[in-house]
Amino acid sequence: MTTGGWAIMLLSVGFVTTLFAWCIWKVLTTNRKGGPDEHEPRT
Amino acid sequence: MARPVLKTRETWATRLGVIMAVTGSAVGLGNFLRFPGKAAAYEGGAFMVPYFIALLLLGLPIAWAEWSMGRYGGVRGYNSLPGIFRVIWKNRISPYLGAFGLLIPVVIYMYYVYIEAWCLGYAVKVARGDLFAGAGPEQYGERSAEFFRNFTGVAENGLAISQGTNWLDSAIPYLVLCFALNFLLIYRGLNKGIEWFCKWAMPALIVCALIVLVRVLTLGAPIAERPEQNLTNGLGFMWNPGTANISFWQSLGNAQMWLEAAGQIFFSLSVGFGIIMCYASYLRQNDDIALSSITSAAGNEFCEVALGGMITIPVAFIFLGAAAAGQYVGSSFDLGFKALPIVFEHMPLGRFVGFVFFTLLFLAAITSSLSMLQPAIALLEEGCGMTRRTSVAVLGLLTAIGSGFVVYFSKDLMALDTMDFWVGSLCIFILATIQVLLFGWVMGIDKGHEELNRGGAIRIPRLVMFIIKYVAPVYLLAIFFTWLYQQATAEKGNYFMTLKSNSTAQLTVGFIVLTLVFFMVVVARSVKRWERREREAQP
Repeated sequence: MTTGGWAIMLLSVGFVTTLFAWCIWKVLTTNRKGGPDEHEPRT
Repeated sequence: MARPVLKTRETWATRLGVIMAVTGSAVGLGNFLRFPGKAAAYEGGAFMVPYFIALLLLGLPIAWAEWSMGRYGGVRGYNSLPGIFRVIWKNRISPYLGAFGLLIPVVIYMYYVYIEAWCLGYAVKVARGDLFAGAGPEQYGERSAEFFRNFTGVAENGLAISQGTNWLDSAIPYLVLCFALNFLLIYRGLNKGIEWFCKWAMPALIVCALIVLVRVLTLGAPIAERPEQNLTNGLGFMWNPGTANISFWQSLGNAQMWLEAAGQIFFSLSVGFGIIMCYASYLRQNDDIALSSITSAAGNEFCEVALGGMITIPVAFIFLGAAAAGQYVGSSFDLGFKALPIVFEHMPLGRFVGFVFFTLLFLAAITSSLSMLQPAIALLEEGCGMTRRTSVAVLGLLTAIGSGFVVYFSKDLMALDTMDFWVGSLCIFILATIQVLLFGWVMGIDKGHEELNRGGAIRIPRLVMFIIKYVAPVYLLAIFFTWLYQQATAEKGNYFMTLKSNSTAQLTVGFIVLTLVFFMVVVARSVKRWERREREAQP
């Protein structure tokens, strides 16, 4: 495996893993905003 | 002033639930078979450049558009694409354009559930050692191909059905089981069916993938006679940017690679299927879209790049070598169902790992196939007033006929392949183009931006709207027409020529057209019903 291969693999895998982990953390630590079950008029 | 028409409706119970469901819809066999094959075929590392660019300029923007339009329509009482399109664009033609959002997932389901059955069947067969019983290593290649031919019926039309006393050895029993499971979950509804299932199936899928990944990363160089077939070289086969013959920069100049990378992102994120829009329609008005959509996309990318990219090609290289692995990368089916069983047979603890791997593929497939049924259920219920039981029965009958068609016309997988091209590729490009134009040019980016950010746990910048309105459509149409031109002028695998000469392909396209006509009729009835109810709601 070349240096370029290591770099691209670590950057790609690192990026998607970090992004996914951050998203899950954000989802779990952010309060859910909701509204009533009713929907707006059909227009 | 019109009185509001209020009713309770199905909604997702939790944000994590909708994220798991959309991620489940996106994560499929392509993450673990198609992506690694494509990346390895195009000098791996170089492939990732256009791949991530396409993610930012095409995949994510279209996904955001789908989520926004879906919730917008859902809040106004519509969960089907014809209904949602009708709300967004008050034009007579709009609900009929939405019929693509029924045709695509339903027809894809018809063949995808068969592949799902293969995954389940292979999990069982690999665990039991049925594929290579009594065979020496030199026979593995031939046995693997023969098993696939008999299991799927690829050698002859009707073979999978007409195996006499051996029909239990075909994929048919697994297909029946997959069908039953899919429809049982759909019958249970959004919360007790789809959401409940995806909330445990997706983590289980990731655990399975991690088990296989750990096994692969600890293999070292398992074949003593071939120390060069080791993990590091296997990872290099997948990730090295460029080869001895072509440099990284030369790779980046390969237009075909850019096309394939954009196509991979497009199909991997499941944009243009009509499913994300349907799922998003079950959100409440102030439910977050911005964070949920990115999380689903990130989940898909994690499964694809961090898991799929680290498992399939490296392990094939380690046990089969560069030349043999290179032969299989061009076809997801060959890679998954012919090459990998051989790999698992050679591998220490291979039968267990193989069982886990095919279970992972099965979970990826079923969370996707489940999502393909919901759009049609939504239309049959809200457009025709059917109960859940009736809509499930109607859709079950339609898809059973379609799957039966695929199973019978199995020679060279012609029916499956034909459906995959005309509906699973061409129609998806069409629907994605319609969606991105509706969002950017009909709904408008001001309204769209407001919709996207309402209730958002994070804020999507205004620049994204510019990308959705101008960049994504141009990028999408460029890929679409280039792909269409290539398909129409290809010397091999030309589906247009095949349609002229092959009777199975003609029958398949005829079946697709009949299915489209069916949905157009349902849409027409639905529009009449909606118009009548809107008139009745007027004071």
